[in-house]
Amino acid sequence: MSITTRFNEMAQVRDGLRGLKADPSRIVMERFLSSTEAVIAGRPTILAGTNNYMGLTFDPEIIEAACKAMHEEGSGTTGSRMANGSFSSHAALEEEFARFYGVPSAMLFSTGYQTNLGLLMALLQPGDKVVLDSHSHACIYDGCRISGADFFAFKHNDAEDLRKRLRRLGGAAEGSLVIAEGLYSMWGDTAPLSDLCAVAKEFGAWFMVDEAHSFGVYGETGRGLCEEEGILDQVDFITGTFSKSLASLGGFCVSRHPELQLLRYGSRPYIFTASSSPASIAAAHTALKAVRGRPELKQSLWANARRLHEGLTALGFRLASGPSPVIAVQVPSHDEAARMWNALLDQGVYVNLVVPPAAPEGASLLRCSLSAGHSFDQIDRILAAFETVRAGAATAVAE
Amino acid sequence: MSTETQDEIIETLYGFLERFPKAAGNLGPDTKLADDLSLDSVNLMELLVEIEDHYDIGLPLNMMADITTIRELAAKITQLIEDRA
Repeated sequence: MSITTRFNEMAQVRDGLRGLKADPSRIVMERFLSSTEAVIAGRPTILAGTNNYMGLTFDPEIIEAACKAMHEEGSGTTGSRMANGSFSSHAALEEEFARFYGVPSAMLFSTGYQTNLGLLMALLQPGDKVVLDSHSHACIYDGCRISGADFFAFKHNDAEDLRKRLRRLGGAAEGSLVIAEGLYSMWGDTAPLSDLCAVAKEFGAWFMVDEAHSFGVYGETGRGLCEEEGILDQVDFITGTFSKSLASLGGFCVSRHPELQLLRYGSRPYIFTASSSPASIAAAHTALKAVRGRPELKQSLWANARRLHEGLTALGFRLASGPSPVIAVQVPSHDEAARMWNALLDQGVYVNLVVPPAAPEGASLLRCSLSAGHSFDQIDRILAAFETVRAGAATAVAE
Repeated sequence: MSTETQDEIIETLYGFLERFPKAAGNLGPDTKLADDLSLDSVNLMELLVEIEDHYDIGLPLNMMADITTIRELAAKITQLIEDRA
């Protein structure tokens, strides 16, 4: 046994992807033409796999704000907030998130991954019980694992299965933590949050929702699926990221419990990481104003999502869920998914190739993420590309 | 409530495991779930759900880091059944 054993395992993963001719390292965006188009392998390519839901990465106001912050506050913070001090811009953005959600507490983290890791590592300790959706993101699993808590998975989006698992915990269900996401990033389906929340509360459990992919996309003011389902006043912790709708890098947690602020003293991913750069904070802050003040962005995103969903359905592809900003085409085999993914790239369309274990339940997916920045012409070109690559295969699944 | 002995639980686990490709002729108390049967994380999740429903117990996912063999899994199930009682 040697630490190099893991090298062999990772080399097998790499060789497997190369065997499928689907090594993600092939994807290098050499030059950007817009928020939805870049040059890949010398070819202008429509970006339909970037999670840039609001299409704000090239927004002039956001870029100007980021540049101004860099000039005024420097290129980096060079340290953590607990060890090296906070910038006023960090505190201002936390206040903005707290106001937006109408809660007493908000905390920023340096990435979305670290947000969930930081919250869970600080909240939980060995002996605590967590029940999470089986399709949860890796950062939720990792946060639970590192915390030492006992964690159990309930069947994806199944409130009755959650009830069964909480019941099995007996008295330990009270004070346990239930975790779900708003929009699941692989299948593109949404959680029955109000049902899950009701079950959690029935057992006296805390309820946490990760809105990484649903913030900006759902809810009347873009606060996510909790807002859309009318449970903002019942959810205990809501997390989100800056790296999707907010076109930046970082993450946030808001809570109706003022004790959230205590996590600054016990969250290792918060204490021992450099804080977000001034440019990242300024970009996120300006993008947050855009999400709140420009409802047309959400309208464009949804129009694009519906157009692609309807088009792919009409072409006979099997889709993993109803219309949402994530539309996943189910493909019968890894080999076929990889063939289609490469053929789409050759057609000038970039989507995400997802094979197990990244895709839940053994599925292979061609995952598209939509943007408010896409034009209908681009959506139609994506559809034309799918039709072309499907024509080269006899295995596309028709419903 | 299950009254199975640990040996009987091992037999029950064989039943859950026999559908996996490498299980044929390869099931014994000391068979390693990952190394011998090549169960990946998805397979293990499915297996745990079946076991939980069969015995009406909760198997924490974090415990799998300490379990290598079928015998060890059966011992953990036995302990959880006893704890519940």
